[in-house]
Amino acid sequence: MQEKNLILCVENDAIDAMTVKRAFKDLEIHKELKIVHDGSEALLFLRDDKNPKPCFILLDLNMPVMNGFEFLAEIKQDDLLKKYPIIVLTSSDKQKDREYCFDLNAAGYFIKPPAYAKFINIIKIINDYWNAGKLPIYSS
Amino acid sequence: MEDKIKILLVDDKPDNLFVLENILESPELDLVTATSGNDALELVLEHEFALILLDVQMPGMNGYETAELLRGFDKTCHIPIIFITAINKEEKYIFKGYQSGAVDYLFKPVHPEILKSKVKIFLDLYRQQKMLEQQAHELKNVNKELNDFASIISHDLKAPLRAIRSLANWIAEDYADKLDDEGKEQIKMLIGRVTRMNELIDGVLQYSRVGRIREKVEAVDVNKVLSEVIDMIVSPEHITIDIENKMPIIYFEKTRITQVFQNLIGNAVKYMDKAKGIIKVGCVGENRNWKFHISDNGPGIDEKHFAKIFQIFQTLNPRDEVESTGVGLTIVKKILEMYGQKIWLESTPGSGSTFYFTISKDNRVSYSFKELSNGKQNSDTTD
Repeated sequence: MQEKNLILCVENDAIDAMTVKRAFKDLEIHKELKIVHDGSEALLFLRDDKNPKPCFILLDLNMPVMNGFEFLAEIKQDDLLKKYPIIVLTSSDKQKDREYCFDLNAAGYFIKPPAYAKFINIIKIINDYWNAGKLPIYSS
Repeated sequence: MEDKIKILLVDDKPDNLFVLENILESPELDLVTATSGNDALELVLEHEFALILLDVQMPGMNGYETAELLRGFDKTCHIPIIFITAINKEEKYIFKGYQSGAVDYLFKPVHPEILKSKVKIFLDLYRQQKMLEQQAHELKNVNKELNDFASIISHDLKAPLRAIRSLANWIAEDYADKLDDEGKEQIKMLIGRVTRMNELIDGVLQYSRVGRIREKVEAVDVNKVLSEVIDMIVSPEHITIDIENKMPIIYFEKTRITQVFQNLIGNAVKYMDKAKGIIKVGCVGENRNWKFHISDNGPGIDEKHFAKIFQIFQTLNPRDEVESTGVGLTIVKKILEMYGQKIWLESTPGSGSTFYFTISKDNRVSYSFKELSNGKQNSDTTD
């Protein structure tokens, strides 16, 4: 069954990952935050039955090995994984990136704001939204 | 362009074609022959010709009719045609030939030297035109690469900056009790420099967007633009902005003309050093142009800096006194020059400056610019 208490964050930049961690701490979100560094690591984590299931996934786009788009495309084709809400959190505000992510069934698209005060607000909105709403149930 | 240059020879009599071929034969030319107007039309759709030599008297479709049809196709309407004729030396027939699109006339019997020299002129023109097309193409590519480069660089430079800013903030927060006042001040300066760098990068992006991201040229009411701009620039109470007369309607990209006024009025506000600041905006018609001016009673600019202020990243005040990227006036100049317009200034140091710029009253000026850039509008709205 799905853990209401785990969020998977796919982010290769150490400081961006620290920013997310810090936002969780400052917002007092008592959830476990699992950080992986690219799409293929995320797939390994999700496909290993021993691991708990996250309630949603935060995804960066620009990553080595398997980038965000490739990850979204792979997830979309996987019957077990395609139900995960994936929220893109990126520094790219290119129109074509945005469209492509939604084509690949992203559940949201947020641009990392340069100021931490705004960043923390975005994390709060994302967390509140998925807390208030119902999640699909993943059986393992 | 290693290919041979193709010339089409059209004459219903094979003997005449043979004569022409003999005169013109050259290793760099590919001479293609047709014995009727119909054959000629088929061939022009298949090949790219630099020149057509066209006999006037042919059975079926004559030379004039063939030429008129050639004028009708996009692909062929620019190919120069030289008519070759034995009779019809009268002026009215010659005139008819020019009306059908001839660029020159030759009379039979054709004099080899005259024919060669006329053909040479058109081939030279053709080569030059090809070279220009090639250069335009290369320029376009280089320009595109440069633009892509600006947006990629900007994006990649901003990511580490964001990280530096975050780290600086965290150090300030997490180690507040360990840092003394000097340490805190240094962190503050660090964050200030990061913010400035961020603004400089934004400036480069904005600059590269001008010309790359093209909007529609439309009728723009300058009165409306000005009231929007003045709303946007929150000017302090001691500064008044007067609009001296009713503004015209101009043909321009709305965002770009807004940027022009925003930067010029914004600068006048930003650098105002008088207790009672007065900024005036006005416009007069001068021949085929509107001449706009924005004057202020601010610090003024020494004439020796007139050229420098339009260069990118140039500021006259130390950045620590007046926060400025030095991109604004560069953008204004680029916008105006893109439309063939001018900007200049007059100034008395200590008592104020007046910036002038022109905008053509004629909307066709703007449109011809668009044609030059292939009439393509860039739909890329973001970077």
